[in-house]
Amino acid sequence: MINVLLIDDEKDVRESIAQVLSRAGYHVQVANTVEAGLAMLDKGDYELLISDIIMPGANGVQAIEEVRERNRTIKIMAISGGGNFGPKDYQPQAIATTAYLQAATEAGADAILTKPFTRAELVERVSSLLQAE
Amino acid sequence: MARIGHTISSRITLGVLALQIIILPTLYFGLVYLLKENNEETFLNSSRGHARFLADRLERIADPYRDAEVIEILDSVVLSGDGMFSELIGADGVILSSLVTESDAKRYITDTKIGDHDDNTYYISVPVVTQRDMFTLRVGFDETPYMESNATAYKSGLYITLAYLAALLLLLPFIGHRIAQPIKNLQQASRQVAGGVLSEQLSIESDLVELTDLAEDLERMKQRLIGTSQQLQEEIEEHKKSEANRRSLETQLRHSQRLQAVGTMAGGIAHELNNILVPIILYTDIAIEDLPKDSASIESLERVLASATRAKGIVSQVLMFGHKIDTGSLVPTDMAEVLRESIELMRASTPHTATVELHIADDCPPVMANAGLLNQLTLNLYSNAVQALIDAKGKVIFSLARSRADSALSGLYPALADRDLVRLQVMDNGHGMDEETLQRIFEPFFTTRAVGEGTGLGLSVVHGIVADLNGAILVQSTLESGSTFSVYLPAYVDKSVTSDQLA
Repeated sequence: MINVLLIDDEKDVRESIAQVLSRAGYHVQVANTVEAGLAMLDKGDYELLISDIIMPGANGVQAIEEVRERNRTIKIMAISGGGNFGPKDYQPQAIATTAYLQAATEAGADAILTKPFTRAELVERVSSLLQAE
Repeated sequence: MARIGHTISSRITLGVLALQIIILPTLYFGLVYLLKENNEETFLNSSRGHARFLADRLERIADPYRDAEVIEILDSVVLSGDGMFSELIGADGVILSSLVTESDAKRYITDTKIGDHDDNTYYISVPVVTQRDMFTLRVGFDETPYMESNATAYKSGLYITLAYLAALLLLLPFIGHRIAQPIKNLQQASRQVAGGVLSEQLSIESDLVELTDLAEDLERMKQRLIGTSQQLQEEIEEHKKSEANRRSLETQLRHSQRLQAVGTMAGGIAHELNNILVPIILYTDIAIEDLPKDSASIESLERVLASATRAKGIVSQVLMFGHKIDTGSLVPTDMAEVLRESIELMRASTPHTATVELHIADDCPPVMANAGLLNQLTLNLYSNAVQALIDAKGKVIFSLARSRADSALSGLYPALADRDLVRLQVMDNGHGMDEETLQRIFEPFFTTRAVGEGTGLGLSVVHGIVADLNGAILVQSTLESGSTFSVYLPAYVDKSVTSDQLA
């Protein structure tokens, strides 16, 4: 069974995603902070990391950078709520999801998925990411 | 318009007349003196000439004692009307004119000057040398014609002086006009220039060098002023342009800052809503899967899914619009009332052991805002203060009062200097903040709270509202002692109410 680690600070988001992926046949473990997630990564053997980007404390981009340094083979999917908002020339680093998702890709994420997404979208993206070599 | 002061003409007239106080007596007495001198010389010369003429005639007589012609000669003096008395004095006696008596002769030989002895007679003695002997001819001339001539001299002096004065009075206005008129012309030209007719030539037609020099200097000054004025006008225009440019830049900057804030806020809301939509969508999908295919609830759940998708669309639509406070929605608002309502609303969610105090000054003026904004402002400050309390026994004190900007606040916010302000102070005795936190508290999404306990938007919303209402917010904080947030908003001034009505 494929091991998936999910980091998100929102409990309902974590649990709903975990349930969907479990039903799709993945073994999902969850963490509510970047620090807790990194600690679990050190102990377990995961093939996919799904991480939220905007979280209090250490954010998802930092998590992805750290994971990439330790593990070059793990698949990473960044997820974040928000959208492409505001004037085009304005993308504050602190909050613009697009800027964060861009930063996540640069940090080493293999895929990005914008919240909210449907069950089918989620399962399809995870499946295609894991099959890709 | 009547003006108090002297005209050049009147000043010249007065000056010349004042000068006459010295000139007129000098002129009069000088004239009289000269005329009198002339009279006296004429009288004396005539008297002496007459006496000498008689003496010459007498010298031709061989023996005056015996010749009757002597008496004729002596009588001719009196008969001519010039003399009053005549006698010939010799060593052997005195021969007297037959027309005078001995008593007419006075006991002096010659008068020293005219008018001696009060007898209206001027006595002259001349020597007469005959073949026989030496004699002295003594003749007394009548002084009356001389006195009459003198009286005429006084009159003449007076007439001449008066004629001089009359001529002067007639000439004075003319002289004054001659001097004043060119100056008046220059003055009129100057007024034209002052009134804006810069083409008017500042010149003068006068033979007075000082005046022509003055006119030339004024004309040069005018030309220089025209140059300076044009330069100044150009500088003003340039300044206006750069000021307009600066304002436009400022407006742009404010606008872009507003957009930044709006973008930040909208991004935050979107993030929250989209996170909420994730479990709604996923759980609903799972629930549909779990239900029997013929369950009536499936249709309901599919509607939930459709609504969630619609919500997603709305969120992205909201993100497309910038939020901006419409100044038209601002009205004079009683902050005290809003504060009471907000605190009433929040008390329910405050731990019962925490103390909340509210002090509202009686004379608090209204502010230009609306209840919704002020509600948001106070609720966020309230929430921030309550959450800063270390334990449930903490205290939050709200105070609302009329205020003025002190030097520190005026320095930071010059627009608030010298204005009536309303100050809302929220004081808590919570854990306080360190310097680093203080620097960032108004940043959107900056929060020190535990994961999931706060969005970090509250104080940035407060900051945005205060800025939109042209106010200011200051924070003081000491670690472990608490924080004080002071919000200053300009008091609303009703311009339709006059100061009389206020009094």
